[in-house]
Amino acid sequence: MDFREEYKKSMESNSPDRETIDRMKAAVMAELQNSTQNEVPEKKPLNMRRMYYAFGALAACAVIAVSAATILPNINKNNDMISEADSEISSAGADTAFDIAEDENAEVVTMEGTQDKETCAATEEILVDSEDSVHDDSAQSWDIDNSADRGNGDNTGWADSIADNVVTPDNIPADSDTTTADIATYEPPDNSNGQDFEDNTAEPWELTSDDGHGNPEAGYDTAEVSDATSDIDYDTDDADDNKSNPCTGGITETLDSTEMTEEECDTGEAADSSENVGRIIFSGKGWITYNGERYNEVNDKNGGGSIMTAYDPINKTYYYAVLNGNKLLVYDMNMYIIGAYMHE
Amino acid sequence: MQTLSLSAAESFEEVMEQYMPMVYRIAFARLGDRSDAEDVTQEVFLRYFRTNLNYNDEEHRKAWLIRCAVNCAKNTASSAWNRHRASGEMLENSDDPENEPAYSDCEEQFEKSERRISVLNAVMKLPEKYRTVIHLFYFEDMSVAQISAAVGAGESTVKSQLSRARRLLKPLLSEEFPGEVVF
Repeated sequence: MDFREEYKKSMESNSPDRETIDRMKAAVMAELQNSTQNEVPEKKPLNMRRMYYAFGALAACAVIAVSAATILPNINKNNDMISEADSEISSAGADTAFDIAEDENAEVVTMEGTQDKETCAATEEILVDSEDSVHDDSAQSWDIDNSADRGNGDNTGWADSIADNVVTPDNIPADSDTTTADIATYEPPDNSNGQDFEDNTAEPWELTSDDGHGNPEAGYDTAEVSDATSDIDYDTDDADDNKSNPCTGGITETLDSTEMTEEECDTGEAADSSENVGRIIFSGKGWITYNGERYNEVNDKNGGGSIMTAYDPINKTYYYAVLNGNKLLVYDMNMYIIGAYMHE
Repeated sequence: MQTLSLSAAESFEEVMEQYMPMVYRIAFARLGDRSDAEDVTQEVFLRYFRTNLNYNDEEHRKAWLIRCAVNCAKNTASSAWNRHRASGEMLENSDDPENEPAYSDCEEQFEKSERRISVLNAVMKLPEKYRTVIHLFYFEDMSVAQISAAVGAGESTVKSQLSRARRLLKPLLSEEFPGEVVF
């Protein structure tokens, strides 16, 4: 038996007849006509899909708008803070010398808080007297480094580091004929050049010259101020040596400022409290500027040092600044630590 | 959705006229049921019109229709309704000329050509996938490569299916036809 032939014959006998073929063709054509007529209802899902897209786009825009409205003010605020900090830094950089002078003035005044008004009044006379002789004072050997008002205001640390040859009220050499209990009447025997410095007071503004730089006369005058206070530290042992004396300028240039000193003396402690503060500016970006120096924030908040008052002119807030070497700890007025910073 | 223009409808009717019996037979060989075969045939030609492919030649068109018929028949066979229908029931019904229209139509010819009915019954007892390759190979005279392309299986798979189908058919046909069966 040939399976192929037999199978073909059997399948041909089961092929659709004419009636079946026409029925299927009619059904197919009718289905096609129905499908073409049903095109519009089939578009409904597409319209819904478009609506979903539209609503999705609107929702996304709304989210973006809300986010922008929430974030932009903060960004602008931060930008303002940064610009203010930059301006402060630039201005601080421009006025660095002046600021330092002011700070040192304030510190000197603080150190000499026990000074009476008579001393202030006598300052002008001393300076006037010394006007003619100051140029001849090249032999003076005031120890600026150990001077009481060298400008750092750090009396505690400074007092600990006083060398043995530094004359202090408690450390006046026994063989010195100038050592008396009344320091205010002390007159340097060798380097006074006949000037009477006993009533001289420190003139803080004399620490700087007119050009804003450190005044080489600072040591000269501040040493005299030390005479009037109990914090004398000029080196009497070195008085006769040939150390270079920075006091080569004219003290007369400071006479105008002497009048200011009197005014400050009149104001008393108010002037001390208002000027004996550092300037601190928070950038809001992890670093601050303190007296024009940039400090970067660090995590180590331990440590100690000399406590000073700092003022934030932007926020108009006072802080305590504890400076120890390059490390600066900032506390609020309740002594809660604000942050630790390291000099850049 | 494309509209049915007059020329397209004419050409579509020509295609249906030419290939509808072939598609119907493929579906019937797979499903063993006339109504299912008609449904599959209509579905195939609806797809043919909707896809609106550009065919290179008539062989390409024929190959597409064969493959579409095989796939549609396979989908229909694997539908929920057909899965719940026992294949034995289908075969049992196909054996009963009273219940099966296809065989009732052939009843007159059954006496004249008992062998053809016996061959068809034997093929319908094969598994569905074997019936398709047997039909394409012996009725449509397609090669193994063409069958593999039509059913989406490898040529080795088609060869093994043909071999197994013949092995199954042999005892069935030898009962009805004593002597050697030539495949």
